[in-house]
Formats: sequence, structure tokens, C-alpha cells
Amino acid sequence: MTEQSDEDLVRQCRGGEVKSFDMLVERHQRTIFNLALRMVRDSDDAADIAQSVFVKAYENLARFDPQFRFFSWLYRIAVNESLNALEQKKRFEGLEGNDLAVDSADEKDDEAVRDEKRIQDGLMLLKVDQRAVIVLKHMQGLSYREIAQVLDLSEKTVKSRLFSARQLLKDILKKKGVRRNDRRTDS
Amino acid sequence: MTGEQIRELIQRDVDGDLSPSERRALDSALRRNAAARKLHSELKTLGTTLASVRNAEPPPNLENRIRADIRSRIAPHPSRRSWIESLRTLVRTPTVLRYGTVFAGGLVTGALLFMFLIHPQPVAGVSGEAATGTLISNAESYSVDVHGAKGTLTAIPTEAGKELTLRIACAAPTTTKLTFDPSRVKLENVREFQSTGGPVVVNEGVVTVTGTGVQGCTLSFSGVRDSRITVQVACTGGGTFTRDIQVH
Repeated sequence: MTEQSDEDLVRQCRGGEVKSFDMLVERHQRTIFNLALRMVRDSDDAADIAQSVFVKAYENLARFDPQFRFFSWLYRIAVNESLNALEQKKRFEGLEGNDLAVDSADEKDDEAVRDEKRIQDGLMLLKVDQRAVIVLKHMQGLSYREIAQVLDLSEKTVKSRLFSARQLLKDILKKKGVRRNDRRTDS
Repeated sequence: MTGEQIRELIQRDVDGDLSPSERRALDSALRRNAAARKLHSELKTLGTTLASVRNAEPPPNLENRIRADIRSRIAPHPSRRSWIESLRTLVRTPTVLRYGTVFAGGLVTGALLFMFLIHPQPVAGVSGEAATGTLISNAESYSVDVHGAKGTLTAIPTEAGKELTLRIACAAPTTTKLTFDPSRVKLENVREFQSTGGPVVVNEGVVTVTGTGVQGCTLSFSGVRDSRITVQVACTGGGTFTRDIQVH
């Protein structure tokens, strides 16, 4: 049986088929969780954000514009929810600046895990709008055009923001001693 | 070629976005410009490094949490049509269909009037939540009022080893029979049961049934008409559980 497209499932859900939305959750929850995780670092926060993203998507499904891809819309909600979560955390915990001192890499970890932690630490040192373009480009594999849609920016701004974010991140990672890593074992 | 143009080509090369002619232009620029070669190499390395970051696995109960949250919010879906819109559609339909629909609507209204006003009957069902059937709850506890003659409630922790507590409060003077499998549940407050084998009768008060493990608690109940039973389910330690409630 042919797998139904996101757009078909959205159409069915708008017609009252809640189970169709379950399939969208199943299909995208991992990606949205990972997007949130790279934005906020904390796994519990990322799970809360992912939950909130799908609930908001469901509640606002009537407002979804089908000329866009569903996942772009979902990413957009996820980025906004991540920004809100970071803002709240900063307000309640006064975390501004604290991330500068963070080095979560542990001597007990193997080199690959240590590098991953340092990369995440490095991401947290970027401004959130720079972090968003890096995550969407490198970790979610979106095109310039898709990133522009998600962040509501022009493609030119996306390219320029991506360039400055990359320049900054490569210097941060160099300082943190992240080695070139060719292992990709994404499951 | 300006520095800005070279930078753009380098970035687009890192992202695999160059046409063959742009690729040739970039190669030529890189041969002549050492700074551009360095930048190109560094950005390529950064791309490889970031690509090595593995996706993390979301918590195993995330999908269930999301579904439960959405189910708990299912009021009429915002995209469903309002009754005013439905009436407008009816007015636009052909005459035969329109009169047919009005006639059918009249029959249904008459039947409902007969059921509720002329011949009142207690309505079996639950209140305090959307519907009967299976629900995966992410709340630490929930309670529901059950009206009706008989039904079943099954509650199962979503994580093995979690302990679940069912508290059943029967409003006096209701008499309610509770049936459960004693081999699968641990009983507490058994004094309040009138017997320990087979169906038990509870006149009033609170009964607590505790189930541990993946099988959880299953409870059948039957009462007099319009009996009101309040069921509370809580997973100790803040776990989640599924519950299935059927009332007849």
C-alpha cells in the first residue's frame, strides 16, 4: 500500500480523522525532538517542546496553508517553541552567559561522544538565530529556500546568517579541540 | 570575481548547491587565492564534523504523551463546520433533499423528546472526560463519574514495574458490585468489601485496589440504575497509564 503523504493526512485530519494526525506524530516526532534538542540541549525540555509543537500544530491545523510543506510548518513551530523555551529559561534561571562556561564533555566518554558534546556546547555559544540556521542546514538538511520559509527570512539573509554562524562555530570548535569526525552512524 | 562572490560560491559548494560552470569558476578562484582555499577547507571540515552528530532517540513515551495531550483537547475540531454554516448549506440544497432532511431532523428531535421528557431514562456514560474507550493518560491521576448500570475499567501502567492505584468511591445509597481478578491485584482496605471471592458488594465508602506491573488493574462494576461511582486512577511515582472504560 502506498504511504500517504503528509498533505493527505492533514486533509483527513481537517475532516475530523484524529488518527491521521497520530500518523503525522509518528512520522515527525523524532525529527522535531532532535531539532528542539539541538536548540535547547536539554533532553527533557526538548521532549516538552516536541509535545507542545504537535499540540499547537493540531490546534492550528485549520490555519495551515497547504501551499507550504507540512514539515516546514512544523519546523517553524518547533523553532518558535524552542526560542520561547530558551527565553523562559533565561528569565526564570538567569542563565544568560552561563553557557559560555559549559564544557559537558566527560573524560569517561569516548572521543566521538566527547566531540558530540563539545559540538552541542559550541552550538549553545551561538546566538539563537545563528544556531537555528546551523541546525536546520546541517542537522535537518534543509535547503536555503526551506530554511527561509521556516524562519520567514529571505534566502539572501539565510545565506549571510549561515556564513557568519559557520565562521563563528568553526572557531569555537577549534578552541574546544573538536577533531574532524567522519563517522556518521545515524540510525 | 569579488571576495563576496567567492565566499558565496564556497558556501554553496559546501552545501552541494553549485552548477558545473559555477564549480569550474570556484576551482579557478581557489587555485589563485590561498585565503579562499583555507576558508573552503575549513568550512568543508565543519560540514563533515556537524554531519557526524548522531540523532538522539526521543524518550520512549513521547509519542504516547503527545497523543494523550491531543486527545485530552479534542473538543469539536476548529476546522469542523459550525451549525450556522451547516444550516446555510441546507438552505442551498435541492428542495426534496431539504424537506427530507427537515423531516428526518424532526423525527430525531421527537425521539429525543420522548426519551428524555416523556419517558426519562438514566443515561449510561461517563462525565469529566471526552469519551469512553482507551485513553493513554499523561496525568498523574484522573477521576471520572460513572453513571449507569454496569461497565468495566482497565488501567495499566505504561512502564513495567510501576504501581497503580484505583480508588472507587460509591455515593450512598448506591449499591455497587465490583469484580476483579484477585490473582493480579493487591487489595487494600479489604474491610470495605463484603466478600473476598467473586463479586463483592460495596454499599458506600472508598475502596482502593492496587495493581503492579504491566497487567495493571481490571475492574468490572455493576450498580443500580443511575448509580454514581467516582473512579480515581493514579500511578505512583508520577508514571503514565492507559485506561479503558466501558459503560453500558
